[in-house]
Amino acid sequence: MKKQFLTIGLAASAVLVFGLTSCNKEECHECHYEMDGQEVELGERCDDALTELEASGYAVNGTTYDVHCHEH
Amino acid sequence: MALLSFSLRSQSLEGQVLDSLNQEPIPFAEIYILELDLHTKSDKDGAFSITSELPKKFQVLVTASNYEFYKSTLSNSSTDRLKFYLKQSHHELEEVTVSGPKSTLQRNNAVHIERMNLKDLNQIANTTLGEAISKIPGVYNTSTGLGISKPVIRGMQGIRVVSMLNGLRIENQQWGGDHGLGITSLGIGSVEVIKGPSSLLYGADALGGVIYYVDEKYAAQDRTEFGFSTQNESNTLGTTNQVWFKKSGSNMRFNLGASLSSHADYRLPDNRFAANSRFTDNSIKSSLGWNRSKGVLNVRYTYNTTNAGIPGHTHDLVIEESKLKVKEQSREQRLPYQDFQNHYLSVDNKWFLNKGEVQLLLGQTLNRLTEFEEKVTIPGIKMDLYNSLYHLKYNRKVNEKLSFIGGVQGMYQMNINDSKASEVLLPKSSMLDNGAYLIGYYNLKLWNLQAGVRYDQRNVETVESFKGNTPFNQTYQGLNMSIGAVRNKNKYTYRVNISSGFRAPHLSELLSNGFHHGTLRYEIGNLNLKSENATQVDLTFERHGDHLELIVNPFYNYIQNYTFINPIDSLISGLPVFVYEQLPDVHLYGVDLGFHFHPHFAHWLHVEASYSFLEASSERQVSLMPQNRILSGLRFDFKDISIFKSNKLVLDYNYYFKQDRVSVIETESPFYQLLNISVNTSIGKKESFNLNFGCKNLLNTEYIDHLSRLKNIGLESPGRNIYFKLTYQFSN
Repeated sequence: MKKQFLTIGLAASAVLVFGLTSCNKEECHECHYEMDGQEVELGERCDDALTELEASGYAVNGTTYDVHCHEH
Repeated sequence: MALLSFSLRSQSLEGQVLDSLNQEPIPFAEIYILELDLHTKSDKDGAFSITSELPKKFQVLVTASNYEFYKSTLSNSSTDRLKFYLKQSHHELEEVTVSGPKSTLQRNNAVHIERMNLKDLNQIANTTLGEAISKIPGVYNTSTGLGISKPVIRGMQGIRVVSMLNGLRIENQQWGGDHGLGITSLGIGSVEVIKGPSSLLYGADALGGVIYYVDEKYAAQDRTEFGFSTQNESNTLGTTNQVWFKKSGSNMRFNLGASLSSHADYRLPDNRFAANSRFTDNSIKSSLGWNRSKGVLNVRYTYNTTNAGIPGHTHDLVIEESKLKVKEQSREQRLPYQDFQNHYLSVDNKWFLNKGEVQLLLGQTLNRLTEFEEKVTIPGIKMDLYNSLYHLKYNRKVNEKLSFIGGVQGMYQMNINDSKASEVLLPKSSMLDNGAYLIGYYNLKLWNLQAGVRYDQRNVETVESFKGNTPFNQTYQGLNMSIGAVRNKNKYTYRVNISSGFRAPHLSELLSNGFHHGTLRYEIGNLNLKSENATQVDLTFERHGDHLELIVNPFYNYIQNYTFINPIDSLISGLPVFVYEQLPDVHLYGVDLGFHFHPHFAHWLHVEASYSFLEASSERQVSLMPQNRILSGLRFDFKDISIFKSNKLVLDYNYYFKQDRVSVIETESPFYQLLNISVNTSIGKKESFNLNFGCKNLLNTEYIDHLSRLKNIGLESPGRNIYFKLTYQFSN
């Protein structure tokens, strides 16, 4: 009985290891916006700051520019 | 076919499997009790034992490699030790199909069902399950790179092909040409294909056919199995690793498995790489089976997640090749990409009654589709598709010749958009399906006759107004039938089947109004679409000789109100605009031919080939018709050499004819040919280790399949691919 539980436990553990290896890591990307046809780099942003920047854009002198992060 | 059970009592069924010619024991024969989905294997002395609560009468099926199968009806009142004598045969092992109304041997089915074991499809290892099923005659693969593929049956794809997983309908936004299969090969034992309209069994949408995936069996009774496999490929620097565990007791059975797959951009024949064709595909699967008094219960759960780049994506009016074909290979996630998550849960319960059998399948699925196009944290599209299903059927044997099956089946589906997404392609909506059917079976000497009728109703409703359209509410109805007959005599099988199907318009066809980046177009729906209706005549002639097997399968499918998507002369944000329209009728006709030659003078040689021919006729050319093709193979079985056993060399040669019958949105496709090779061997006394190594596209042929979604941008299919696969299996 112990051996069966051990076998089941080992197998379940292997499956869980497989399942959890795709857990989320910190997400960071290089971001930029376009002004007058030129790309302006904003540097690396991560997680919440990254989300906020993509959603709200980047304001320069009262003008908000759409921000793109990551190669496309 | 035997009478089914009346009552159950616990019993040990013991016996021995022997060769009918020399009375030698046959080791590793499989002994099945069909009603209970229970099986065991004979030991080295051919002996076996099954302990379970057995129905009063039950069917036993005994199979072994290189022997004819044996099937019989037994009674649980008999206490004699059983002896099964099997006759030697060169036939391929014939197995029971489950996708039909009832489990039966292939040759006894009035509906032509093509069944293939995944192991046979993987003699030359496949990268994905989609690639594997495209080796089945009449079945093709439309793909957006390697990571996204979906099946095509006799020219029909998308919503017209219903996919089932152990009786559970897979709903994964399959209306999208760039939305993949939704499952991996993990735990899949076999695939059954019904080609053509199949609404009698599967309701609305099954116009093109059904692909029915059957899980691997549980371990034999009182056995434990454990195994893992690793497959590595040179073309994508890809790796697929799987691990599984199976345990069966007297009444309880349990399977558990996991799969991880990662592939970088695929290599083109000119040694550049298809940019952003990378993907990962991971899966966990479990199932629990329980035989109890008067019934069998199976609970299954599968979780699958796919992350796939969208190759060939560009808004440029003039496409720069250097952006599509790059010099460096990468697997790091980048825009744009799709993220799919699928949950499949089913509870399948069977009860043995006094004069019949009742089966109830309940299922719940969730498909979460997220497409990231311009932003890494804000999805372009994000939709959740919830699906609740039921299927209740009653199987009743009236007498030795006559039986019937009646059932009700349906599903409730809800599509919900996530507010975080920047675009909405389809509105929030619900769909309710209900259907009822009755099928009769009659055995008339050598003939098995089958006839059935089914009524379906589908209600489609949007919950809110959408881009200027008022909320939509429409009900569609369908009355369908199937009539078939099959005759088996000596080595020959003759089969004729006439079946109908219908498909209500999908929401995407009715109400689309937005960018669909995965298909590189802006799509506009059409509220005036009618239901599609199809009627197919399917004939089969089969010869099952000791050394030569033949199949000839002509068909004709007549479809009314055929829906298609058509470009109009317009662009929105650089993407072409497509609208949904209908043709009054389309005629699809063709033939699937096949043979398997296993010469008496060379038992180590197998020669196989299939030819698939399809033509479409209508007032305008129908798009995306697959290239006619010949799939052929040679298999050489070699003697054991030292520790290397079951040695095989497999050579595949596949020829795809040019496709010059194209619609206005297509270009012609030239012919192409592919050569693949593999070597298989098992190691050790128990052959626990299996090695499979080989090369696909050995000649590094440059080609673009007509059904490839990358054809219009000139992105070729993968070049040469050398692979290596190691599998380990342990069983006590």
